[in-house]
Amino acid sequence: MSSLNASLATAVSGLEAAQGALEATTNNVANANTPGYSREVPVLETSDPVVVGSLTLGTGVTLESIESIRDPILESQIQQETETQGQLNSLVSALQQTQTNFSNTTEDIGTAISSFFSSINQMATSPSDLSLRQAVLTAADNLASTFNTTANNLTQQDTNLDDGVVQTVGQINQLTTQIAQLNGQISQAENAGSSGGTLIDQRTQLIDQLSSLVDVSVIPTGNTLTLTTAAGTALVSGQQSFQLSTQPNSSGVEDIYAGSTDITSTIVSGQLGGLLQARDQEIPSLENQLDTLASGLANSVNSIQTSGYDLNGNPGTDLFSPPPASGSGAAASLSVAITDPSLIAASSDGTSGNNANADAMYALSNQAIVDGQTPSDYYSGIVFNVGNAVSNATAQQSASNLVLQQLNDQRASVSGVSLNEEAANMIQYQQAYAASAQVITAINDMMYDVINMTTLTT
Amino acid sequence: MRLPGHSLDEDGAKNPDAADFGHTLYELQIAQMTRIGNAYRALESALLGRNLESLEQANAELVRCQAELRNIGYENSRRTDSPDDAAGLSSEELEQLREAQMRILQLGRVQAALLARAQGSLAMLANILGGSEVIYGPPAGKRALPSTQVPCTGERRCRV
Repeated sequence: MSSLNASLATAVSGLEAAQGALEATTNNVANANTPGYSREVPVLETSDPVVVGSLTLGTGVTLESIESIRDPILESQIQQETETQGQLNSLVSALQQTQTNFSNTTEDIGTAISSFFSSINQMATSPSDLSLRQAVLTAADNLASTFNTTANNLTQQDTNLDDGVVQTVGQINQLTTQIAQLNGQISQAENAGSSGGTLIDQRTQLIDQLSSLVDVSVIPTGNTLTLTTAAGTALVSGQQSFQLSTQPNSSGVEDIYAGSTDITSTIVSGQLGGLLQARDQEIPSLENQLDTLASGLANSVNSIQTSGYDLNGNPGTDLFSPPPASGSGAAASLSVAITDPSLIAASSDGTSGNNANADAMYALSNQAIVDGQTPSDYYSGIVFNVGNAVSNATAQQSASNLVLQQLNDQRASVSGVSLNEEAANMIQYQQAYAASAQVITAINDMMYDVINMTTLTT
Repeated sequence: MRLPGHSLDEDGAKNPDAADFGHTLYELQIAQMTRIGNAYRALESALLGRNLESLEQANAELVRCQAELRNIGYENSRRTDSPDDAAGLSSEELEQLREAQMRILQLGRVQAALLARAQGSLAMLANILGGSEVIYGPPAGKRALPSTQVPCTGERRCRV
């Protein structure tokens, strides 16, 4: 038969377990609105029994640990979708900014092209009229400056995106440093027998933030985590973080390095992936198309211009300054080469009333002079591509937001705190505590009786 | 689909109430596209909630709405050679039609993106449930190789 003291110890274990469980409930209630908090549940286990003769007697309850409730698969899905959302956010933002350069306004390239050819058509009606000739030069100048402005805007946007890349790398480094520190603290806590739940929540939050910046693979290593990029570049290993750095390349844009390895092309997701996609693919592609349009237009106009005669009967000279042979930078550098309106070669035979060359120049508006298309069609293609890219990216972004919202709701249902449930738990633990206390009171009375009995017998 | 209050005779375009007819068509088209939009939103919810029954219902509704919209377009083309101009619609009404079409297009794009994600998450789940004996392929998504490039040789199963 067990002693009263053993029963007292058993009752005390009940008190302690109920108190510990109540602490978990208290912490849950306190963190009900804390973002990223995972609810804690007490893990109670029966203490090892003792065998006395033919009897096996229980020794109470042990609060083994307090565990945080998480779904690793859900966490992984959230992390993956967060990367995609980060990428799409920065991409959509960049594309929308780009699109403003191609919106249908009175100052866009499409309108400037139409105005330029329209002015040539007007001049052809009266080729010796200097005011009409001046109108052609003004329209040509306007066309060139519209190309310049658009190309410069794209270059400026590229520079801003480049700054964004450097800033994002800085943020990544900060986060990886913090995660490495938390890894150490979690390791210490778990080695000391604690679950480190709150610290793990903090780390999960930081990993989510990191995922929105760059594609991250999480590899559990013992009681810490190793983080790499999707391509395998180490970011955090245990308590050590590996800093990324940026260095300008030969084109003047910042490349991303891990140690001495250029990892720029391996980053495809997260905010950084979106910035790189916009900086290195979308905008350069548009710049190339603008250059093709500008050089195709300038070369064709110059070709007609130099085959005719100006108002003075002299052979025509280039209307636009010749674009670079490669075409690269043609839009940014396009300019009008003549300032004297009489130098426009409207005539094909040198007589002042002849307008055949002006007609030929106007005919360019309907000829496939830019990559097999008319200038207007080619420009419309650029506008369509930009609009299509924005629409597609926006749709992807909407889908990503919906999925992430759904996943976060699921996480909340698994890991979130339900105040109703916690209220029920609180009553349950309170009653368990009161019952254990009642048992202790009863044992106390019994002990008193035993002491009294002893006193009486002596 | 029959248009309420209008006879769809072959010389309908010469009818003095052509503008009225065009306006009725416009209202039907707008209403139909609103229904399509609602069907798309129901599809979104069903897909996110992985609710197959709702998914089937919303999909059936979408197919029905699209067929009815096609019928409206067909009735319009029967009466006119140049639907937009001859229907007597104002530029404002045409703009509203265009905006409704763009909304539907965007909802369709979002739906396609959601389906791609659902496919990816199902592939991930299949990989997890597949156990350790299977050869894992990448989840179907932007990083996945086309199925023709995923090495699946011999008797080894390949989960993609």
